[in-house]
Amino acid sequence: MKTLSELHFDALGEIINIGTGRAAQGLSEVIGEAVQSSVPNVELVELENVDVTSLRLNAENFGIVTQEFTGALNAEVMLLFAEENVLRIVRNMMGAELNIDVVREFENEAMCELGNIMINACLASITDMLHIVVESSLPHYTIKSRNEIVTQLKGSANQEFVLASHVDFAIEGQPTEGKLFFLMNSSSLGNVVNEINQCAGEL
Amino acid sequence: MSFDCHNVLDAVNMGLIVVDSQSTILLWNNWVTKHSGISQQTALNQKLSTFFPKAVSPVFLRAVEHTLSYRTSSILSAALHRSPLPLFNQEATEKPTRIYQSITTTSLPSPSGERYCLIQIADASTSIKREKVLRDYSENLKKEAITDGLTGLFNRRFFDEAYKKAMCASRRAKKDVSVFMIDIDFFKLYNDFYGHQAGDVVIQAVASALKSQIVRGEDTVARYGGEEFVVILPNTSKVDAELVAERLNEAVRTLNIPHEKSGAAAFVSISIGICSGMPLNGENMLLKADEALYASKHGGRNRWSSVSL
Repeated sequence: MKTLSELHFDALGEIINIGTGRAAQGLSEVIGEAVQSSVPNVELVELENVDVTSLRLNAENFGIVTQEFTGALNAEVMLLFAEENVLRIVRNMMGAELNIDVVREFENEAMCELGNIMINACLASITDMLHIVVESSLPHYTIKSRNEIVTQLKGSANQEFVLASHVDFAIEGQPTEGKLFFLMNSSSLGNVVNEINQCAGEL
Repeated sequence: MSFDCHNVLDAVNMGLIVVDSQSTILLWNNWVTKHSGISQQTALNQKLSTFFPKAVSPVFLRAVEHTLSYRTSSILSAALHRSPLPLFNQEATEKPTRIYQSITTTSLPSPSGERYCLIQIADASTSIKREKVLRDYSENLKKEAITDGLTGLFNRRFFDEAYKKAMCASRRAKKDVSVFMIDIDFFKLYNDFYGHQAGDVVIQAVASALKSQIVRGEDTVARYGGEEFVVILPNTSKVDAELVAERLNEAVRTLNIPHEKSGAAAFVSISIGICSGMPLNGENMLLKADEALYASKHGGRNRWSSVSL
């Protein structure tokens, strides 16, 4: 199965949309202030077509939180933030009461937690909608240039697609480029489509 | 040959707790016993949410609940939560302190098919302490490298950088900057007569008198060498600089330190040379200030002289 019907893609887009919205809500809960987010824009990119342009990687470097999902949905989920904004987000999270001059080690762990909250919020809304059960690994955090990201994605064995959700956040009025990538293979995508079919059948 | 994993669980240097889907405690390893003061027998079969005698962070309970209902893994970082569980360092010599914790929750399959939650607790205290010590250390070094040991003012090294920056800033902003060279009058004679230790006390007293008059954050007072001091006042015109100089002279006079050998006054005094302007062509303002200082000395000391660029 190489192509998705328009109907399926719309349904998938809608689900990812809602999930991304929930992730943004998760972010705003952690930061303790309203986070505005644009309506996410969802695209399906085949791995062979992955490049800086097709993934719309505008910033030079990104902070990336990655988690793996297994079960009804086998996917690697990556949450990306433009690196220049990461520090500001972390500072926001730490709040005034925790005014440590952030040490790299803390920053990484704090970013891990932030990504974890957002990814879990997104995943919970997806599994709720599709009535599926998925298990997740613990998150890990890396910083990569956009070219390294492309190389890494192209090199992922067993995966065939990137389901990319682009969302721009405004934190304290400052725009922040954010992305949520779901790396999947066609059988996993097929499973999701089946679940969508079942849910659609129930309606 | 079979192998009993329980020994491992108890030997591991981190906290391990397992709860079932009803949040009943099924595993409570030695580490947790040691740091909570609650024995395994007491803990097992109790509800995690209501069991701790002291407050448990609601974020922690939510993470466990989320792992149980969604099978997701969660992380609670020490950076954001510090100490979600009432766990303490039990060193015999010290008062127990709450441990900073990094906690993860992961979903665990069970023989019955029910999902459990594994809680792993790592002690982040040492890494936090280590980071803090290193940071304090590097801050001290940084401070020492730019501070004059005797007076606590900035040293020559810091001044040289600050001077370069001030020159650039003045050119860029097209604003006047004023530079002072300051000398304690007849200091060599003071030293010879009252001794070197008394001389050091005078240098310290003059330094703090100067410091007390230079209040703006962007201004710099430094010890240039021996009994010489320098001041940089960014964004300050000749007229304003002269007012400041007058205050500096006065502040040292009011210290009222007797100086029998001074040819300028009966007490310790200073001479000041000021240069003000915009060094648009890279002029050496320090040199001009030094020339003005010479004029002050020539004019009888215990005074200021100023020149424009």
